[in-house]
Amino acid sequence: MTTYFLVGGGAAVGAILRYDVTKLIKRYALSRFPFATLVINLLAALILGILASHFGTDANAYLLLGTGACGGFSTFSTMSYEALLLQQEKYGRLALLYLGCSLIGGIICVVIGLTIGHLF
Amino acid sequence: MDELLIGLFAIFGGMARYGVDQFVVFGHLPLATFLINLIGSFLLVFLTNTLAQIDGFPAQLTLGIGTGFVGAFTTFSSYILEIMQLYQAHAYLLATGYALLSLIGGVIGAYLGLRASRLDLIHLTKREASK
Repeated sequence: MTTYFLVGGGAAVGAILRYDVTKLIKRYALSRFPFATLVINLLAALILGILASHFGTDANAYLLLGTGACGGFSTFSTMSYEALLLQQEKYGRLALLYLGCSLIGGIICVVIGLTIGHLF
Repeated sequence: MDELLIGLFAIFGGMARYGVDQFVVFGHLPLATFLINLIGSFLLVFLTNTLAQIDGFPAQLTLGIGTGFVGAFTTFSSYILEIMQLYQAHAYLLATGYALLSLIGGVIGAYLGLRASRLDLIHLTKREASK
């Protein structure tokens, strides 16, 4: 049961950060490309990689900071919605670019994270 | 105030994700995250569009449910980590399939959510009109 509270508590902090960072980035956004969610998701993949290789995925610290905070900070549903909106507004290629950048960028970030986590 | 509601709903979103993770186990396949992200993509679009059309439904509550609960329920970081873990286990085809099917499934889920929210509204207005 404790594990559920670790994940829930982390998720609350992560989601609030996601909301505030999204608002902050959108204030400076110049295009319709959803930079905010992309930056958030890539950052979360980097940090999750560090946590996974440093603590291992069974540790309580990983449940709080990784499964909880990084999981709550990053989001898949908003990414899907933003890609759909781009497609519906006839920016299908931008939608594909967005999903491609998320996937490839995410993999690069998690690899960097896993490497950093091994060092410390 | 927005932050408080988002945080509160996110607790349950995160717990629900962890719960599904614990109970949906299918060998080494990341089936839990796959289902969570597909269902979450549908729910986010369906709920935000449906709730926004209900007269008097507080916008802050919609934000809490969408950004807080569903946003914390779905996850991008674990999805990416799982792709990497499949790759490291030399399950290259599975890693590629999981990566692409999630992206495609997520957008289809979001599209179905949009369609479902419109169906629901037609239904509601019809009921409203027949009163």
